[in-house]
Amino acid sequence: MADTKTVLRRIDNEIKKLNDNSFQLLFFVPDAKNVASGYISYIYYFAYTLHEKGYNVKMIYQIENEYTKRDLADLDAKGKPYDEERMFIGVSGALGQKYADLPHENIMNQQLTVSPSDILFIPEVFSQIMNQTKKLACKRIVIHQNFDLLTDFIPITISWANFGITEAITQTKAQADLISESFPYVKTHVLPPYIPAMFKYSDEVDAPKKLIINLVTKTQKEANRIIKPFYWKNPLYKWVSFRDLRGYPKDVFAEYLKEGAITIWVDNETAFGYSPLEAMKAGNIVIGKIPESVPEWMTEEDKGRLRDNGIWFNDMNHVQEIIADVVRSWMLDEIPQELTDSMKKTVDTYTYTKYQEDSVKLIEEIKNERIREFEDVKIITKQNPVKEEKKEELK
Amino acid sequence: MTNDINITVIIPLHVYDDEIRSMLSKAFESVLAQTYDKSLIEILFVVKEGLEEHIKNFLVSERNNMVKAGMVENVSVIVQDGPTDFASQVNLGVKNAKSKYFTILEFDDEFYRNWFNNAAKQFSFDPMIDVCIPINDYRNAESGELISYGNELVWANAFSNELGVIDKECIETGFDFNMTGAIFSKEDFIQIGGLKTSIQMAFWYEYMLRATNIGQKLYVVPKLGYVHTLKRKGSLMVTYSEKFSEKEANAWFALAKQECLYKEDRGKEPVISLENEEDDKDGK
Repeated sequence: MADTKTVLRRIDNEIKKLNDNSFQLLFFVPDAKNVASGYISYIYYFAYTLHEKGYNVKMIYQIENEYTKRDLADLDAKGKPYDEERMFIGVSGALGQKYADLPHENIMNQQLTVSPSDILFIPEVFSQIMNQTKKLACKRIVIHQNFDLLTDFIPITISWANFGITEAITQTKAQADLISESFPYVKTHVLPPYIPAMFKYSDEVDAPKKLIINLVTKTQKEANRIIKPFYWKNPLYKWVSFRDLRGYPKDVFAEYLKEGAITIWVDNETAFGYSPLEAMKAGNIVIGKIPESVPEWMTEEDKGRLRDNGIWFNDMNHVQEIIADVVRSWMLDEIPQELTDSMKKTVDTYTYTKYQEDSVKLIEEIKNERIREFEDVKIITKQNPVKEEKKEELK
Repeated sequence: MTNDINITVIIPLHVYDDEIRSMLSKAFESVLAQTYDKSLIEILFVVKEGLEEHIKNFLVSERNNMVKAGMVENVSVIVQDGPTDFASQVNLGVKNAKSKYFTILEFDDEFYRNWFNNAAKQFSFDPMIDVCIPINDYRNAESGELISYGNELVWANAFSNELGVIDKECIETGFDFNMTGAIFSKEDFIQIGGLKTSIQMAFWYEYMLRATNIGQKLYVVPKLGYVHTLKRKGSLMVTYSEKFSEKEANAWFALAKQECLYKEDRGKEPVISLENEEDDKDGK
């Protein structure tokens, strides 16, 4: 039973942690198993950026019956294979070691220890985590990237209100608006992503591109749908090489984009569309299928029409003619200047410098808001002194 | 950087009439239209004896275009005395070229305007490249219609050991590479012996084998650089195909494969297989 003095001291302690940045930023993550989608990358890039800026970052996950080091040593000694379901593999191969080296902790079967000053970030797919953590003292913020995932992973008649979620971070204003329409009580922050430095035109100035067409699709079926009819309809181009980029780690993906000249992109369900931006930054002409949810970087400010930063199509049955035209234009150096200028303007919006500034600004805003909340609680506590026998709520 | 890549355009000419003059004008103007720094381009006509006056008149008619392009001083003519053929005209042109690099332009073909720029970028980026070869538009001599691309196959997966590079295995498949429009290092060309004038029909094939044998890197730049007219009546290849039977043509290629091991032109004659003649007599 804490008295007023104790309560105020605790609150001051939490405020101090916020002021000296010793409060925790906890990111709940799935095990990516070395496959780094844009979804996973966004979370890790955010966490790492804050870590670089001196914030106290930790990645948390849940794995049942995770191997200990001793378990692994025993398996090695006996020559037995590992059960991947009992291992956190993470993102070292997909994104790089520096992301894997962020502190990670398995919170399965143990109480997550948090302070009121801590912030827990939860991806929208983990509604069960939102439910499990609703009584925690810390602030909880959802990282929202894809409305389809939100609707897939939440039971009917349940909303974020049931989980006590009142704040979310999104990548775009359009996503923020969707959240506000569904959950009007949720405060949204927009944090646009950045395109990592590994995506660039080339390592040397003006390195010539090779005529390789990179293919970024979700499935083999989509890839076949493009390539095979291309050769049937365009026998003059039977020599053109395609390179399927599905499944490659980010660094290899970046190298292939650097080398190639044209990228074909098909992803009907994407909410943001990282790959075409990465391809544009690498100087590839993007031929892309317009997704169901049109990314904001694809449309003009007034959303009335598509931008000229790529060659956009709807009909998979006729993309082959577009590809042949683009190949010939590229070989003749007749790709319109308007297109390449628009590509550059688009990617210049997503720089790391801007992202760092935005990330820090966001955390500071959340932090300052939290300090104000604690100050308000202090005032209320002083006005209503806590007697020893009463229980105290810090929230 | 690209400013040490100066290029001589060699235009061999052994006949001349109004039709040729018209074709030559398009070819010549395709050099004047290059986006490349004109101060780095030289044009060198190598003409058969007796055609000097025609070329002089031609250049007078093209003077305004040359002035606009800033290329009045960069054009010259040399006359080849005596018997002439394509290979010997090329060799003579290379010997007299002032530039570090050269290319050959047939009078019925033309360059695309960015070709020299693209080739120069490639040479600067990869100093291991000895010859930059353009992808060609192959066009019908009558209609001008696009028939196919040329030199493109090295960009197909698994055709070559290295994408874009013509290696020995590529050449031996018999695929028909077109070397006019390609940009060569003059020094390398002379050093390995130039074209062999005694080898008819297969002289480019022989040259490419010889070059790859000693490790030269022949790279097809994946850019359209040259428009090549196919099957024009009176052209060199049409003349060869009229002159030689299939058997004789094969014999020239077999000779080329044998002679590519030697730098000097040994003046060998191809051996036409008698066995096949016997088969023919039996109607097989």
